[in-house]
Amino acid sequence: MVEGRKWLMAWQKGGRLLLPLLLIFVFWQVMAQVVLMMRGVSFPTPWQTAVVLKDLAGGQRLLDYSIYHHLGNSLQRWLAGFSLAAVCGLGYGLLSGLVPAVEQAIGLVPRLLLLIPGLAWVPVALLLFGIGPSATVFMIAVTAFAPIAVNVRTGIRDVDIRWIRAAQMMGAPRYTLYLRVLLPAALPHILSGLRIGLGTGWRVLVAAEMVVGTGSGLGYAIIQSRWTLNYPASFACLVLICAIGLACEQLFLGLIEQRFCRSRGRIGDSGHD
Amino acid sequence: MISFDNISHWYADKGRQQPPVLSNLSFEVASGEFLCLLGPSGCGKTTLLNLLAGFFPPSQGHVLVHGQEIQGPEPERGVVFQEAALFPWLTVAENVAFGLRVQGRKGAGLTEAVSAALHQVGLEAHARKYPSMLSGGMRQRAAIARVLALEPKILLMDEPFSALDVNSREHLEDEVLRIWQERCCTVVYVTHDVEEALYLADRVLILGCPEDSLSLERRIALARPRDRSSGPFLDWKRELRQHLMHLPCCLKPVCSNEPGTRGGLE
Repeated sequence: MVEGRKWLMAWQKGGRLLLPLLLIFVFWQVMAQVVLMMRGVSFPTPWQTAVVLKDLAGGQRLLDYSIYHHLGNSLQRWLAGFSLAAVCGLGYGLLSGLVPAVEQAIGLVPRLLLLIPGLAWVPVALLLFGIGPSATVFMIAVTAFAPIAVNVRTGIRDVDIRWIRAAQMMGAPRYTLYLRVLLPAALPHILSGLRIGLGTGWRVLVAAEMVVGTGSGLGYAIIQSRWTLNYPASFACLVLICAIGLACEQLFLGLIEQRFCRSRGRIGDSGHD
Repeated sequence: MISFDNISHWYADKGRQQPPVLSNLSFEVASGEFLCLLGPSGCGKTTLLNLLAGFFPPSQGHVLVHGQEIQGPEPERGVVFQEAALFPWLTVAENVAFGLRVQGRKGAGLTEAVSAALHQVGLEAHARKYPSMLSGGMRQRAAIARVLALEPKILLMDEPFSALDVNSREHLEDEVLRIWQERCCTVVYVTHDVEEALYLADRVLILGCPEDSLSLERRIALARPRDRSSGPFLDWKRELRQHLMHLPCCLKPVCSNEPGTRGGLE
């Protein structure tokens, strides 16, 4: 009985993950057939893509490099751009959350940046850094910065005044207040800012590699394979992008939910978080 | 011991001064006294308590404790907030330990003080739970334990049990009385509930509209433990309710624009 329920639950859990994927593959397959029939163009099917992926994983070269090289370069740029954005965003967010004067002086900057689509930075990036990986890193950093900065600031500003007062009433000096009350209280906002920044950075990275001509990377591989009419390889890279984005997102989300917010429960202590 | 000397207070909203919440209020609280502040909502009870806690200074006048003007919040004046305001990212025991750690307590001494405080409110079994896992009454107990651990001389309570059901409220009222009697501390207790004020207080102050902030003062000469259904108790209740009902309504936009309700540091 218990054994049976365990199986059922495992099946349900797996199903929740597998079902959407299955739907996507079915839709994809149908679309490939339809495109072939209607337009007479060969549209890579899931199966063809999987075969290419397998070959690439086996070390087959794509545009002079192995897929691992492309992947590694993309990840490196992502990491560099995101780290830059995270450091600046956290710094700005904490400072402007704590010091109203800073917010008044330059608060408009991240809000403006938030409105600029990542790809709009291409001319700026090219002028500043020329063609090459630095331009890509710049684009990631500048796009991922805004959501991080805005979220961290909001997190700090929205800390329940009663928590601050409670800490003051217990005699907490300023640094204790910052480190042990404001920071943990704002952590959910901070983490969600980082998560959004991570996703934004990944999307911009791939788009930037397509435009800024980095010579390697997943985005570059997609666009170049298109020119060489190697569509299945393009699709394979697309699948990789999805997989990596999803994996990082899951990792981060898991971190947020299990590590930090577990304690807060669904109904927060104060009734409004 | 505590004296309010001609206090007036008003909030500013976007730089514009609002009508005063308290005006020209003077009264004293004796050492060891249990004082209840009663009044309709919006009459400035919470403001008064916040002034006493030292969260912000009065717009006019002085709040003195032992003849000294209040400089800011201090562990000597422990506050129990309306909704516990425990730190949700810490367990009950860690919440209680927070203030003690700030005071520099460590190791075995810290653990002992925490369990003593939890024992006093009957929460030993829940020490390792997070506030979100507790009921409303247990959360208020934890908030009380957190304050008791600091051994305050003055206990400030802002409608601490108003969100609880009658049973747990009456139970907690008895505990507050017990703690007060054991510790001989001074208690200033804000409530809007006449019966609660009568059950607890040595003296009741009714706050009215700002034109005359202090509207009524009564010493409750009833022996403890008090019986909520006894004749004299009900007589008192009738009198105070009559008075409250005839107070002019003071509905005005207050508290919504209290300084810093949107976080940050004043």
